[in-house]
Amino acid sequence: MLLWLSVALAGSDGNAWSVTASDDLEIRYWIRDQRLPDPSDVPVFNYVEGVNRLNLAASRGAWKLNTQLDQVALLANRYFLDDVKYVERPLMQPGRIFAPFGDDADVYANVEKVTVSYDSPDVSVQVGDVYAAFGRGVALNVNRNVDIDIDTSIQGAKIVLRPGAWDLTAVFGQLNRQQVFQDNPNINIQGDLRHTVAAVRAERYGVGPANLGVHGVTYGFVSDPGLSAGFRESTGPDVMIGGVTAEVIGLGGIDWFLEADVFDYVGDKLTGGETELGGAVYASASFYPGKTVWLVELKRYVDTNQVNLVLSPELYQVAIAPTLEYERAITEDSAAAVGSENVWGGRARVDWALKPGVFVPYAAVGVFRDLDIGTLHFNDVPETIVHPMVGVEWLPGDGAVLLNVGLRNDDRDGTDFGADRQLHGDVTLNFPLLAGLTGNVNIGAEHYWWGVNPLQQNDYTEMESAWTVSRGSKVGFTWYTDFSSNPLIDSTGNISETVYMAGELQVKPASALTLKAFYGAYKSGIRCSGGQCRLLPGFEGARVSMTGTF
Amino acid sequence: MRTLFSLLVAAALSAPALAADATDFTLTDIQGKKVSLSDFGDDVVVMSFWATWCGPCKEEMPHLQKLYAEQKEKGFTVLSISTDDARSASRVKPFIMKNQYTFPVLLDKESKVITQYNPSKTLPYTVVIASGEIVKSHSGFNPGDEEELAKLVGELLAKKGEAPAEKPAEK
Repeated sequence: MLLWLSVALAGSDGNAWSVTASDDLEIRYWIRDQRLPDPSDVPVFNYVEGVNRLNLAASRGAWKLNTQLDQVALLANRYFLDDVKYVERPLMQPGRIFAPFGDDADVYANVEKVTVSYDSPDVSVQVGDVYAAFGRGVALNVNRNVDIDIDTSIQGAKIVLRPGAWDLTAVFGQLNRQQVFQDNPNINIQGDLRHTVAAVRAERYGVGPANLGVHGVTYGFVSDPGLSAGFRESTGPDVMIGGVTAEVIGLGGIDWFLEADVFDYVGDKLTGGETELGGAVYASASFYPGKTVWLVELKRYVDTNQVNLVLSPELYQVAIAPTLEYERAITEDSAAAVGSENVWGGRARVDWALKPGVFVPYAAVGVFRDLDIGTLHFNDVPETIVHPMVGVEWLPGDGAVLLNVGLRNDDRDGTDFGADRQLHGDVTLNFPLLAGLTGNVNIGAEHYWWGVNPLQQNDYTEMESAWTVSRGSKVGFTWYTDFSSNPLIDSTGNISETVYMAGELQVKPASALTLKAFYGAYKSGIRCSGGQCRLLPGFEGARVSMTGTF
Repeated sequence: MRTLFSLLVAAALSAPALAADATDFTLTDIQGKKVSLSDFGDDVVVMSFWATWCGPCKEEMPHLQKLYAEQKEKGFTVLSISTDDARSASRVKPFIMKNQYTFPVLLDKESKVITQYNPSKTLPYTVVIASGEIVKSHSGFNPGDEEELAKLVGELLAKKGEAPAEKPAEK
């Protein structure tokens, strides 16, 4: 039917709809080491999870339609013991979400996103699920993060008018976070907290070398999930944010960007009435003397991240926008990276284009002063963070070397609490092998030394590696090994307590179709990308997947 | 489920046979200027979606630059579209400058264009467009992909050279 639909709609006639569809189907067999006392030899806790995501994008002239249908099913999730039926893990939380197949079902489907758009040179209108970002995302950045499978949209409307050199944007609606995940297990699915957002922005292009913007954003927060709760609980905005941006290109040979925002907590839902005002300033300058490229970023944030915390999944704060730090250096207590209510600092990076596009080493250093001693920071006193890094991008044509090494030092004030330190490095190697084969190696390793930290007192090492042999894009095999000596990790290796191994075969019979089969285990951990973090649980079992675009 | 799987595989395998119109869009480039796909008229266009955090994207870009340098005078362009979001947008231009890439680089900070061309949003993602129609799309990058892409672009340019040229729409 999908094939028929594509053929029927995607003709070359100018009046026909142009259709792109993609489907990502993944079936996972979860091996659990839990056992019942009797019978102890039956792995009743093992189960199968099927996740399917179907996206459809259609356009005709100025009109566009996008939809995303998510489905998840659990198999072998129930068993009888002494004639009593046990549901090992509920797929949904009863009464907390609209369940089309019933609260008790092991199947769930959701039309996750629907957007209808009209685009012309003078006006764009989107109704349904929209994404929006102003400036550098300090006040508003609701977007999809593919890398870690976070997809929150604003379910409402967005209008952009473009009179002359102006862009005038208005967006409003309720936040809609995706319910079904492709990487994380789908258990206890519950409804969204549909916080409300309303925002406007005016941007003027071409004021000399500058583009200038001004914006206002309001959020109203709810504590109960569901569409109706969003309307029922809404009592007006809880925080109002006003901000300005200026981008100046080439002034004095430097590209400048400046954003400043003021947060006014008009309600007490976030702060308990203790904080009335917050503020953020971000500035960047990039310049290009000789063979070098410099990027300098500075930031100052005070009492802004309650907003990010509430908007983020899993209560990991979005790294204080923008992300100044290297993602691998982000851990759950990385104050300046994961979020801080009171931080200032900056990062400078210089790339030295010895052979542009081929051999470019770099050095960078981030320095931050974190004055926040609450929330996830585990600090009784302020700390100073220094994070130097070096690396190289070497792309000789028939291979690649991407290397990064850094040392992060979070030094707490005084002598009573010590410092948390992290040494990290990662390398990607691509190289030709015999008979048209290609080798690819990805290795990352981190070692941690902890100061006085109430959560973690054990120094430990972690390592991840992937070794791949492939023939073009057609076929490849990857061998994964993970190692973690972190005693607090909530996964156990399949080779030993600390060692995890897995293999994956990838076949690409057509450029738009990828098939994968995986067997083995990987460790749990926090994955970060684009300043956002989430917990990725460990996995042991088998997985087959198919991703196709057609 | 098995029927659905079979249909999806069949549809994906037959995808190259389908010609879909390339949807027009307008984005801001790293110089702060508005750029539309329609600005390139009937040029052969390789749209490349990437991000500064994407390793395979970095490996693909020197090959795109080489292809662009070789073929840009023949009615060909590479339209490089960064999908970095607002928070990391300051990193895009320095990345391009240090590598001295000369093709146009656009900023898709709100996932507006990638959502239309690659709903699953995997990176890197390449779309080849000729005469306003999508000829091929490809996800990921492995060594050897650049040769297939160069061959396809060469064929499309040769075909284009045989056809009467259309003048790009004036802005």
